[in-house]
This record gives sequence, structure tokens and C-alpha cells, in this order.
Amino acid sequence: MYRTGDLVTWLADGSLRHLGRMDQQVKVRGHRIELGEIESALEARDDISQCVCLVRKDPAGEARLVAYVRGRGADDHQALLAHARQSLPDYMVPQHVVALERLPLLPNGKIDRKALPDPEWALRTQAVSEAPLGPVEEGLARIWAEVLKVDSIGRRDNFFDLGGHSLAAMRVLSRIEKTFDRKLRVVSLFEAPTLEAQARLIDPSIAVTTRPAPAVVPIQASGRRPPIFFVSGYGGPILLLQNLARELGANQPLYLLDFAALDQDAQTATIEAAARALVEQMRLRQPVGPYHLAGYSLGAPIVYEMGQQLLAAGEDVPMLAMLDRFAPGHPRPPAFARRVVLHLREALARGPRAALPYLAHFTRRFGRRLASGLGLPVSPHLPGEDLELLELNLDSATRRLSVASDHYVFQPYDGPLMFIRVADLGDHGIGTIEDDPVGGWHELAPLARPIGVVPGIHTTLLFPENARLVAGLLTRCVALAGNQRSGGPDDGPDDGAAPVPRRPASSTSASTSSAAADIGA
Amino acid sequence: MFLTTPAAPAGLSLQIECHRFDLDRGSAGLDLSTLDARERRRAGALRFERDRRRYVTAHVRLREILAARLGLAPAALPLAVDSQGKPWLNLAGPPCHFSLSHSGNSGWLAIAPVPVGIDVEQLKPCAGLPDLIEAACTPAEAAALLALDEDGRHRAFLTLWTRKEAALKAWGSGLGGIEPASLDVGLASPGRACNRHHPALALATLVTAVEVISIAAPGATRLAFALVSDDTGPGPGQDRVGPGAEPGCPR
Repeated sequence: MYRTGDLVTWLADGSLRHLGRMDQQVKVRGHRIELGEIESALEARDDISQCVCLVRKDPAGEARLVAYVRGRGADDHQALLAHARQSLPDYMVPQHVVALERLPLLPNGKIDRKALPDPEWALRTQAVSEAPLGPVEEGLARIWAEVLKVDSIGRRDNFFDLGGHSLAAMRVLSRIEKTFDRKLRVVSLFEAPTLEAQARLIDPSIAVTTRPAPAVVPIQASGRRPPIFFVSGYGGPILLLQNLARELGANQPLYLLDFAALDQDAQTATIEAAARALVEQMRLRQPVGPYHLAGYSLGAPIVYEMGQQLLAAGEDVPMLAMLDRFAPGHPRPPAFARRVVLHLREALARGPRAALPYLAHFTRRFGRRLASGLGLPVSPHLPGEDLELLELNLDSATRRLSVASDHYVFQPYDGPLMFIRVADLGDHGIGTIEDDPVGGWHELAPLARPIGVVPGIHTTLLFPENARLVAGLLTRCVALAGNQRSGGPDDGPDDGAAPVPRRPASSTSASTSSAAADIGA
Repeated sequence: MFLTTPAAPAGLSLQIECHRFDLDRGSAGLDLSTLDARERRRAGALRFERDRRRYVTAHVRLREILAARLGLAPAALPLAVDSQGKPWLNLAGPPCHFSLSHSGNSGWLAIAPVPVGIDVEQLKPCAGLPDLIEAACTPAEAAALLALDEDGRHRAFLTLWTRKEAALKAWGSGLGGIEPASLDVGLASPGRACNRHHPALALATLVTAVEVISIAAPGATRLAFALVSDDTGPGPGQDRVGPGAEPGCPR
């Protein structure tokens, strides 16, 4: 016996089963991956005759797992990924799938890996969605499957994303009438294009009886404008949000997404998990986009991540308002010597009694940073640091998330981002430079734009005296979001907010569900 | 391909510029970078590679053709989508209306100086035709269809359907706005679309405005255009068939 580089396994009957080549071990995001195992997993499907897996660098330089597949089932990327997910660990599930009619060959008959095309990087393969729940969703999934000639249909699947067109829509509606004795208007399919949402139109009791959404707190549920979903920071924000809702007016619905109501520890272990849980509950209130999000303080990284997840799911997120949350690394600190001078000047300005504690505080902070830089153990928070609110009775969810937010990595964001900040950066402002009206967000979110400045410090942003101004700024965000969708003029109504330079917004719209007059209709 | 329509107001003849492209050919050399964030997201949301390829091909071609007419770079074309989902050009200057449709691998683009809608369907037997007729046709249309033999009924239904969709797309509401079963388009070409349930509304909108022409398209497809003009134009029954147009319900 000699080594061939093939990976085989002995079966019970003594025969050998080929598992793929062993000589293609690669490392992706710290995991050692045997590409042949992925290939074998996909080739195990009847409808895939051949598969080649590669690691390629995307335009951003990140290593991505790409599967090239041939065969009848090559077009259904979601089904392939669902299959891969069942038989492979997460880090081995390909991020892109490319269907090919034949794989390019070298003169010696081996596959010419260099000739395999780049995937369309911008078009991420979507994750497969959850299986239909309950008899209505299951019955509906059968109708969709038959009309669209698609095998597996998830409850979050969008009719038009599955290739549904107008004539198919008519077929689905006439089948619904026959099966459920319920006549739906054509427009309903555009308003509720997901399986889950359509099932709820057929049986409105589904949502109420089986899917509670305790984290979605209606502050003001009525109104014709698109609802704002607000994720707040520490403390009990409901009373403060009621002020805000009053100033927003009767036409603007406002919901609090309350992370403190997430009851499983796993849901508050990371910002990503909290965002996923809140998106799920928000979808029970509003099944499809456009979604209008606003986050304040600890809520800001959570809505940022919600925006990321919604965009990745192909949803429209025309508004992502960041309330007094700067981009990572902002506000930018000046040189060390300049900081020392600024702190000394501030200490002197505070008078003889306050100067010494002030300097002691910042010296300790410096010492702590130095210790942490040297790898010495440091306590998570300094006594007396500007964290009085943290000292309040924080529930465990909030505590866990505030720790998790330190580890959250802000990835580049494609959608529009609206930045609102306070005028006074407080203790944090001393020794910091803020020269960027969008708080540094431009680096991560090219569509970021400044909306306005609210008087006071971070912790007073939602206080009653600011409610009218903050409401005006949020109304402006909603108006801008609407303009982005309709491609109309760039300027929203002026609500008397503090003037800040504005950057031109893109005129592109992000409508995903309204395929009515677009191709495919 | 140019099509001169008899639907023009006050004796003017309107030209519809028409482009047909094969959505399954030549997608390898397509420059995806000309698409905007919305188009990429839309394409990315499509589950099947084939649908993505067709969507991307259609939109790259749309941008190429419109940009060439307007002297712009394809990526710089300010393509927007209104609240009803209808794509439009956010540009100053004389209006450039367009409409895009596809069926199978065949994509069609119509460009006109007035709001235009185009719809194309491959000519093939319709599964579940009786249900579709019930769901999508007005009683008068259904009666006309039921008078035909089986083969004729399939063809005539697709004629009706493309006319309905073209009218709704020209009008800008798409299928999300008006129920197709309340839209009377008839089989005569040229004809008019009017709202069955709200005649008063229709007089102000569809009846006065939308002209529908069916033509036989190459490759066994059914193709319909609709134009919206300020003028009421000819009514149904008037013999004003233009070049390239043929009477509805051809056998």
C-alpha cells in the first residue's frame, strides 16, 4: 500500500469509500480545513455530479470558501448550503456557491483550478431560512413549492426572491383560495412577500397565539408613518421614550426593542446574538422591511448589528440612526503631550478643591491602560469613573451586553447611517478632538450623514427638555429614509435642529420587495 | 427595433424604442460594477443562480442602453425606484421613460417619450388556466375567452395578461396597485385599459390614458405595450391598427 493522497474510509462490508483528496488542507479564519471533505459532502447529493472547493480572496482581501458545483441541483444554493450545514461544521460551510455547466480541465484531464471564475463577490449566498411552522405555513409552503417548482421553502423566504413573477403570484392566490377558502388581494403578496407573513394573512391568529414578542414594547403603536424601532441604553427608558413618542406625533409609531426582556443568557452573550433575537421579535411585529432603526448608547452597536443582519438577509434598512455613538476610535485623541496639557488646564479651571481628584482620576485611568497594555490584570471599571448609571440596579442582560459591546467588531456597513450627537462630550471630551461631523462613521459606512447636535451630555440626550429636538431629528431621519427609497430630492424638512454640514446622500434606493414594475414582474 | 404607435395624441406618432436581449448568453463578460447597491442587493437576494444571472444581465444591459442614449457612464445613471416599485431616471431634462420585462431567457426593454409599460410572456400552455381566468379576468374578458377553443384560449389569455401587466406598469402602480381582475383591457388592438369597478376613477386615469397594443413577438412570445398620454386617444373598436401591431387574439 502506498500513499495516494486520497482520503478513504473502510466500510462495514470491507469496501473502501472515497472521501476526497487529502492534500488540499487549507487554513481559513484559524480553522484547518480539508477541502476534499467539503467536496465529498456536496457530491453526496444525488443532484450534484461534481464539486470543487477553493479558498479565494475576496476584493477586501478576506479568505472565502467557494464551492463550484455541477449538476441538476447546482442552481439551488440555499438547498446546497442547508445540506452542507447538516454534514459539516459551520466553519467548513462554503460562503459562495458557483454553478457551472462544466468544470474547466487541464490537458491532462485534471481540473484547472486556476481557470475557475471568481464568484460574484457582491452577491452573497443567503443562509437558508427556518422550516415552515404549523399547518398553515406548511400548506402554504406546498403551494409555493408546486407553483415555483422549488424543493425546500423556508418560512422567511420571499416569494419574489424565489423567482416568483406575476403570473405565478396569480396561481398562488387562486390556490390559496381553494385550499384555505380565503381570498387574498394581489397587493397582499407585495406587502407580505414572505411565507410567514402570508400565512398570517390567511390566519391572523397565528402571531398572537403562538409567537409572543416580549421584547417589542409598543410606546405608540398607531400612525401611518413607518414605525421606528428604538434600542436604548442603560436604565429604564420607557418613560423617556413616552416623551419622545408624544413629540413625534400621533402619526409616527414608535417601538422599544427592550434587550432586558431577552430571557435566555445565550441571547445576551454577544451583540450579534442580541441583535438576532431582537430582529426575530421585530419581525413578528413587522415581517418585512423597510425597517427604520434607532439606537442610543449601548443600543447603538445592537441596532448597527441588526442593520447588518437585515441587509445580509436582503432586507431594506433605509434608516439606521446612531444616537451619540461615535465610530470606533472616535472621538479621536490628540497626541499624549497635548492631552496632558488639556487635562491640566481643565483641572485648574475646576478650582483648587476639584483639581486634585480630577487629576488622580485621569492618572489612575492612564495607569490602568498602561497595565492592561502590559498584560497585567485590571478591574473592569475604575471606582468613581463616570459610570453612575452602571451602578444602578442593572439587570443581568444589560450587564452582559455592556461587557459584550467591548468585544463587538463594527464591520463596514452598506446602508444609510444617520448620526446624532450631543454638544458636550463631558469628561470624555477633554483631550479628545472631534473634527468629523459624522463622528468617524464615514470610514465604515460610506452613506453616513450628520443629522444634528443635541445640547447637554450623553446621559441627558433623552431627557424631557430634549424630547422635542430629538423627535425632530428622528422625523428628519425618517423623511430622509423615505427620499432615499423614492429617489426624490435629497433634502428633508428642516426641523430647526442645530445646523451641521450635510453630505449628499446616494440616490439609490434599497427596495427589495417591490418587484412590481421591475424585471421579474 | 422601433415601433410606431397609433396611440399618439393629436396626430403625433410616438416611437417606442425596443430592445431584446438573451438573458442566458454572455453574462460572463458583464461588468457588475455598474450596478448600484439596490440592484446588487436585489440580485443577491434571489435564491437561484439562473434568476440572478438574468436579473444582472437585464440590469447591466438596461444601464448600458440608457447611459448610451443620455451620454452618461452606465454606473452614473441615476436609476431610482419610486414608492410603488417602478424604476425611473432621476434626471433633469426631457423625460426618458422606460420599462423592462422578461420571460424565460428573453429580456425586453421599451423606451418612450411618455410613460410606457412592456410585458412579455412566453407562449406556452398555461397550467391551471380556468383558475387563472377566474382570478385575473373581468367577467366580459372571461366570457370572451370561454368562447374560444382550448388552444385559442391559452393564447388569448396570455395576450390579455400581458396587456394588463403592461397597462399597470405604464400606469406605475404595478400589480400591487390595482387588482388585475378589475382592469378591463379587452382583446382588440389597439385598445384601452379601464377600471371596471371605479369607472369615475378610470375616466380620470386609465381609460383616458392607457393605450394597449399587442404584437406578435419573435420566439413564440406574447408582447404588449402600454402608453400613458394626456390625450384620450382612440377608443376601442376604432380601426387604428399601426405597423407592427396585429389584432389581438391571433391564431
